[in-house]
Amino acid sequence: MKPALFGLHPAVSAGAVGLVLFGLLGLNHPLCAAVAFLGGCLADNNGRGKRRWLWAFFLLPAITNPLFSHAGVTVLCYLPDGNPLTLESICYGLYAGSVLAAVMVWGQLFFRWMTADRLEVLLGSMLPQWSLFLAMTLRLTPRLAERGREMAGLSPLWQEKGQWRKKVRAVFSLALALLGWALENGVETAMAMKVRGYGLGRRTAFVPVTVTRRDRWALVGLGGLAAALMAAVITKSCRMVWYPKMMGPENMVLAAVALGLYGVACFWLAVFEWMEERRWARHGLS
Amino acid sequence: MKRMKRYVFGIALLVGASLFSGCSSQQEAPEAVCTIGVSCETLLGKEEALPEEKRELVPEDGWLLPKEEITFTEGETAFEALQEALKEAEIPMEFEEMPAYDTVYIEGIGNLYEQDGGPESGWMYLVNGDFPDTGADGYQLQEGDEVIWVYSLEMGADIETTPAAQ
Repeated sequence: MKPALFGLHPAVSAGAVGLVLFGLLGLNHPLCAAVAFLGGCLADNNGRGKRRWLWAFFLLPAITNPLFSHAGVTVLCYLPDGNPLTLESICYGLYAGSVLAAVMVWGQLFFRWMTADRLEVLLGSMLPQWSLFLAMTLRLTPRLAERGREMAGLSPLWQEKGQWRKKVRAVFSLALALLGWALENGVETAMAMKVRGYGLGRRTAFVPVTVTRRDRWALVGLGGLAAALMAAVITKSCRMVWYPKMMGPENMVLAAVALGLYGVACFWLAVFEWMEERRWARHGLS
Repeated sequence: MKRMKRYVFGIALLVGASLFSGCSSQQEAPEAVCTIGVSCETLLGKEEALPEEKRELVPEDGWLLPKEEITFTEGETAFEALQEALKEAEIPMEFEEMPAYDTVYIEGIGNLYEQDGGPESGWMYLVNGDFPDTGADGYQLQEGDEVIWVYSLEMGADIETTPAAQ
């Protein structure tokens, strides 16, 4: 089933993801990373996103940070090169890893929700030239991949197995053929657009969605959340200090409020998906 | 089986060699005494130059490692002595080896890092009241030396030196 979010205006999905990432990077608290990660995984209810690589994104900073950053007051032991291994650098590495993993989850969600046509709706009237460029690229990428597969099946030249040198040569020759095809395709597209009158004057953007009352409410809510989170980021009320000594936010109440608001920003999409699914199921339409 | 034997022989050879080399390097070298200390006195009264969370790292008298006498073996460098003394005092130090200059660069001692106190701040070291011409791991300690690490806010311009009369 399509995500229920497709029923809302693309501005809502873009804004929701933007808000989550803003809070994640601005609030700077480990709980934010956890909340964002969980919220993202839950919102991706039927996406079955590729989570196999998330571990790598989590582990990379978690392992490398203590190896390269030695600040912190709690020395656990000394590394072979003589620099200290500190508790703070380990904790910060774990935090950085979870932030990276959360960013990856929300990045996947963004591109699942913002399909090329929805991106076009958002940018078409604002940045027409960029949006055209983007649309052409987004259209070309899957076509290129498909064409590549098709061509690889055509000739034994592009199916070399065994020796890696032969394989590399095969890939290069395939890439060369694809490049030629892409250029030809580009020329064709340009001619087709010229024939249809592109560049003759001002054009309107084709927007196949309308802003409904639900969208308006969602946008107002997102705006309110954004303002509150902005205030929390500016006052650093949720900021965690890692070096030289780990220190939580000073005012626990303010921090809890900010975290709560951030939780709303992260989880409302999952709740929305769940509610929509139930509504469809009630009418026997899912 | 033959292969196995060869492996065992090889390992025995290695172990033996490492034992012998260990013996030869542990020859008693003559020991001598020098003074070592780490100070950030320059920061006293100027704590605002530091980021907020680091201000409490400056000790009241400005000495992270008060001057103390240490014994060293001949050929030990100022850097090795510092590393040992700080490990003993449980003060973290971060350094970077710089192959291009064949020396080490001390980035931070006790979590006070280079550039924490402004763009021209960082650690320098004095031997008998003057800045030596080499990096700390190129300076071999002499009997009676006084080696002091200081935190400078202006690339050494704020450190008083007393050059020894030649």
